[in-house]
Order: sequence, then structure tokens, then C-alpha cells
Amino acid sequence: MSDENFDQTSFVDHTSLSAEATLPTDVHPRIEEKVVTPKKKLNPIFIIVSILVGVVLLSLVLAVFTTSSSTSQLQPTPSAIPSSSPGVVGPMQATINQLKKNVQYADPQNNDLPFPPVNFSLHLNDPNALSNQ
Amino acid sequence: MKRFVLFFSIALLLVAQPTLAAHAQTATPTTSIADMQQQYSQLLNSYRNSEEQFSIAAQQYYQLKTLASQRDAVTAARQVMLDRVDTLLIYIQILKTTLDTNPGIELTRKSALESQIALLTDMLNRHRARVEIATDRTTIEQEATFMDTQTPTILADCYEALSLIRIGAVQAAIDQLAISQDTLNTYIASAPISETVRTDKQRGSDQISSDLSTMHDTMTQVLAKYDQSIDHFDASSFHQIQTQLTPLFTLLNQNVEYIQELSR
Repeated sequence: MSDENFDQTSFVDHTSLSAEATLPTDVHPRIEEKVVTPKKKLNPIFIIVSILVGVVLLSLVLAVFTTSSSTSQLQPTPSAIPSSSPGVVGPMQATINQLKKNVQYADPQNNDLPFPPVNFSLHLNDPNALSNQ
Repeated sequence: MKRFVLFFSIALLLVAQPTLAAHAQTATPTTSIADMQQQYSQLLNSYRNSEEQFSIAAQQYYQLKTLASQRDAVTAARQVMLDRVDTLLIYIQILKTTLDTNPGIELTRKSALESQIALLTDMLNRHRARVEIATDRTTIEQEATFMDTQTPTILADCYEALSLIRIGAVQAAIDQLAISQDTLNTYIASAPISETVRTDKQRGSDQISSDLSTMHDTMTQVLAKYDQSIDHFDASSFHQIQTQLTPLFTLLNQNVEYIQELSR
């Protein structure tokens, strides 16, 4: 630009006019763009997708937590037996825990499925059967 | 940006779906018996209510002998019979599922009992279908008499199943004791202990072997009692088997203590 101004062969009017003509058109759109950009609204699709992603993430986290809690319930409870060599006593503890569980369930007096207390004599013509109920 | 978010959410869904499906699959078998027990409780409550209604309706019919009271009594009788058979059917289903999941039951006895249970279920379902369409006093009375005749069979099959479940539970504990003893022997052989301690522990393991032998003998007697009672099982036979199993249970508890001591 400065070289052009010092060029004596070019016309003064030409240079000044071109400068005047170009300057306003160059500056104004840039200012407008800068002003308009912050006012741009968020796309509703983007909001919906964000909510969906949030829900999926939450369900994933919940699923991982529930799976880990259920597996921790299935694991044998740590035994109080001290271990001198972990490689051998590990299976020992596991079998003892299983044995305890099996023996606890094996109590013959523990009948958790008693026969239903239903009346097998339901007769309309038998007052004795009704009075026995 | 939008494309990235969309792709990310689809990828997450694809990742999360197998995890959730696997979780659902693992949860199903554990809730099966619990669901049936809950259903059983509800049906038993319904039965108790309808039995009360039937009692009132039948007494009114017996006193009044009117057509209206007879109609009410027949309706109440049909309802109580339906509730009774539904309660029995779900109870038998629980017994069958418990038999299936019990690892200590011998297969021949289990399959024989399962065949009996299938016949019993079929008989009860047919009775249910007849009661459901019964509208007159004669049909209801016929079905009441039919159930009277079937009561010994129902009781026999159910007490037989209960006995086999109890026997299976004790047998599973004995089997687990034998497995534990094998593991204990491996531990004794390889543990960094003095020879004196090793000999003491080996002696303890021999005691467990002796107890296991006693348990097998007692179990043979229990199974003989079970086989003898097959044709006429009732509550009394079930209690006898429970009594026969009790010393085995005591011996099992003692051996759990032994094994715990010897593994220290």
C-alpha cells in the first residue's frame, strides 16, 4: 500500500478513490460479524443429543456399579483363617466357605417349604367339614 | 461437532447395551424362585379370603336351603377350589424348581419323582379346568369328592419331594466335605510345617475320612427308608427322614470345625 502511494506514475485520484471505496466495505461487515456471533442460539438438536449422551453415560455408570456390587456379593466372604502360603490356602478357604454354606443349608429341621395349609374337604353338603376348618 | 456427538452417543449405546443385557441375564435365575414364592404368598392369601367367604356361604346355604343361598354357595365353592388348586400348583412348581437346582440329588430318584410331579400337575390342571366351567352344585360336589380321593397322592408326592430335597441338601454338604478334605490333604502335604505338625494334621484328616465313611453308611440307611416310603409318603415319613438326617448334620458341623482347625 505504501509503495503504491509513493508511485509517481499512478494517478492520485485513482488511488484515493480506490482506498475510499474499499475501506468502508471492508470494515463494516467484519464489525457486524463480530457483533452477531455471540447472539447465535443453540441448536435444539444439539441440546437433545447432549441430554441423550448424559442419560446413556449415567445408565452406563449405574450398570457398572450394579454389576460390581452383584459380583462382590457372589465372592466368598474373607475367612478369618490366617494364610501361611497364599497359593495353597486360597483354594482351601474357598472350599471351606462353600462347605459352610452347604452345611448351613443342609439342616434337616429347616423346612422352608412347608406344605400349604389348604383344606381338602370343601363340601357344600357336609357341615362337619365346614366346622372343622 | 454435531456429527461427532451423534457418533459418540451411538457408540456409547452400542457399548452399554451388552453390559445391561448381560446384567439382566445374570439376574434372571436368582429371581425365579423368589418370584414364585412371592406369587405363592399372594395365592395363599387369596385362598384364605375365599375359604372364609365359602365358609359363610356354605353355612347360610345349609341353614336356609334357598336357591339364592345355593347359588352363592356354588359361586364361593368354585372360587375357593380355584384358589386352592392355584396355590397347590405354584407350590409344586417351587418344589420342582428346588429339585432341579439341588446338586446333591441322585438322578434316578430325581427323574422318577419329576415324572410323578408331571402327572400330578396334569391332574390338577384338568381339575382346575373342570372347576372353572362348573356352574351347578352337583358338578362342584363331584370335584370336591374328586379332590378328596386325590389328597393322599398330592400329599405323598409333595412330602416325597420335600424329603428328597432335604436328603439332597445333606448329600451336597457331604460331597463338599470330601472335596474340602482333598484340598486339605494337598495343603498338609505342601505346607511349610514341621513333620510333627504334619503328622498331627494327617491324623486329623484321617478322622474326617472315618466320619465321611460313617456319613455314607447313614445316608444309605436314609435312602433305604426313602425307597421304602415311596408308595405311602406322608408327613410322618418326612419327619422320620428329618430325624434320621439330624445325626449326619451334627457330624457335618463337627467336621467343618475340624477342617477349620487343620487348615490353620
